[in-house]
Amino acid sequence: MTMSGGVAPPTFEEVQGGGLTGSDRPRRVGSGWGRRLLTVVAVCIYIYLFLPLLNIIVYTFNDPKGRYNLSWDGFTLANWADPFKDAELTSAFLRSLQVAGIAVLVALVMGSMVAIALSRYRFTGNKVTEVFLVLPLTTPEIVLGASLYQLFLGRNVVLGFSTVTIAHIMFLVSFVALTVKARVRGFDWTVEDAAMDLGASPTRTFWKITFPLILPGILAAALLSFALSMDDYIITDFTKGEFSTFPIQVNNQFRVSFPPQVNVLATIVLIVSVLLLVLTSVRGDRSSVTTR
Amino acid sequence: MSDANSSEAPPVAGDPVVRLEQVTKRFGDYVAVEEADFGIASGEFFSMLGPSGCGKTTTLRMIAGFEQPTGGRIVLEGRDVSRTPPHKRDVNTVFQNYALFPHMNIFDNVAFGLRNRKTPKDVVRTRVMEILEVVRLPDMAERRPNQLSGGQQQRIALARALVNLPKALLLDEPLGALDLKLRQVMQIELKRIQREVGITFIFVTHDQEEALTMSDRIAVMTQGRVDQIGTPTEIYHRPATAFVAGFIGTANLLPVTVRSQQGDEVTVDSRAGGQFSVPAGGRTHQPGSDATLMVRPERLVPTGAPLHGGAPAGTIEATVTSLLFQGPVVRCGVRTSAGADLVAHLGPEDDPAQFSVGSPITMTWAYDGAYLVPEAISADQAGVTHMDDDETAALAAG
Repeated sequence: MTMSGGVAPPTFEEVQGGGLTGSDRPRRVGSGWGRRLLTVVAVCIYIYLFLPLLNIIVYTFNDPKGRYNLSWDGFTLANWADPFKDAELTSAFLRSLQVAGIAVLVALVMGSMVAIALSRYRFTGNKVTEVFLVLPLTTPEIVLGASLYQLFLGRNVVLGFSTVTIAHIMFLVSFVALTVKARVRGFDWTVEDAAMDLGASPTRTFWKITFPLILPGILAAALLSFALSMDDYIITDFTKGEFSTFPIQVNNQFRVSFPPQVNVLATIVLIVSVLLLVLTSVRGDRSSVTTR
Repeated sequence: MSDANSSEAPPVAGDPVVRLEQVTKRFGDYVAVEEADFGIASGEFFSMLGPSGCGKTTTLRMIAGFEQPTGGRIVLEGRDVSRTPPHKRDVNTVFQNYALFPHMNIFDNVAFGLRNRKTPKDVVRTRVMEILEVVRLPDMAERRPNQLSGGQQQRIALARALVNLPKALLLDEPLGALDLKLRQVMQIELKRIQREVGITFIFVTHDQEEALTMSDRIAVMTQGRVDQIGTPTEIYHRPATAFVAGFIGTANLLPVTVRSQQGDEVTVDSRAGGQFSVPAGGRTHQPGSDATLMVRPERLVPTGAPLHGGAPAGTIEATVTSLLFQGPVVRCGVRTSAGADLVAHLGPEDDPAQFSVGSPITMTWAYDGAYLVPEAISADQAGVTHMDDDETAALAAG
């Protein structure tokens, strides 16, 4: 890796607009031995962070002798040529995409509305709502999972696709609300007044003004919550019944096999996520360049 | 200039563009605006002036539609709009912080209102470029708001509102965020633009100098009430209340009791002793009623100096407490024998060199140089009212 220390990765929390906010530029790091040491430390940290990811990617090219893709047995492109070779794994992967797709969409709408309400208006229960918003994030997943299991079972709800999706929506709403709220903090709401003053209906004002301005926050929330949903194991395990998602399937299969397709599918998700991240960062960078 | 102002003021006769009828706004127990009742004529530059919290911005927001009156009606060109939402009112606002849309370029910002009304594309283009020409920023169309200076953003906010040719343009302290020099440039610019487009301007400000310079008429507000509406000249020379006298310019106020009135001449007793003759200002003053005698610093002179506007109206014995050279005038602070601090602006004809701090001085003013405000003030309100911060500091240092 050629990354050098001191270069901050782009963030999508870059404050856009607001003209009056000055930007704190990162300070240059000093020179000499201190700087070299800093570079070494930084590289070490990057290696520590990325080694597991690198391992996943490298092992997509492995040609394992047995049913376990755990030791290096030779290079092949066969896994990439046929990523959907394992039928059960593939269908679990598709089910995960479905759950994540629906859960993220619903959570985005609900969470964004919560975020806007909390930062736009003063109402009774304002503070209480903010506190309760953090609770699902701080409660251990195992407790949430068990509680949901109890709730569904006590009402004779058949566990499956819908219960898993409902559970995912539940914990994603908090993530979305908090991410979007961070984005709209310091947002100048008088632009909404201005839009209506210029003859835009409340609906038009939302789609032409409010939504484009909070979109970067919503995109960030979408990426984060999609990853969380694809990745979730514990809560899903409690609410799945006979249903299974990608992580569940991987774990189930692990007792009998661990095909390289697991790595391939995971790498695909990784690549798509990184691409989206880069896209939103570039978008954010461009708007922050024009704000200078 | 001030005389020209009053003769140029459009008559309020005929149907006003905006009429407020007994408009009251309450927030819970707090009365923000109390029975505001006035009309604003077409093409008028109308200012609402007052200290913060006086209700001027709330009144403006009610005209715009962001607040609804608790009582009374707001009539826009004969139509009751009290309950009409802002996007259905034919008025536009220039916000204090401009509220430009940061994600749109200048062209799209200015075109926003026209596009909301489904204006054909080519019309949008010509109208936007025309108005950018009026505010003298035709080359900025492709820029983003944050690439513009404060003064430029101000002009764009103005253009964005004016391009819709509203029945009235509402301006909420639009110059407040600009530095002094730019503010003065923009004051002149605003007047020019208003003359050019001929649209009614309703202007909210706490800066009395700004209001005097720009307005055809001013409504002076305090604590939710409108104290007086009039031309800058009227408000300066014939304030209706002690508050107006003190808020507009500097005023020396003396508590007096009316003794008698003969025609337009009122005789009053100063509570600090002495008797003066004052013009009645067209009012009838009840003998025995308390009132306030107002003399502007430029009319207060030492005895012996030349007087303009009639015979001396009376004299006040005082001691010089400060002498500040201010270029055209010397600002002379005096303390009367009753303990009230007064301020006189002495010109070269008053020979200020003959005085020094601590020396006795006898002050007087011409009959026409005083005005009788039909409102009582307490003894501790007596004396000079309006002092700028730097003047106060200078007095303390002196």
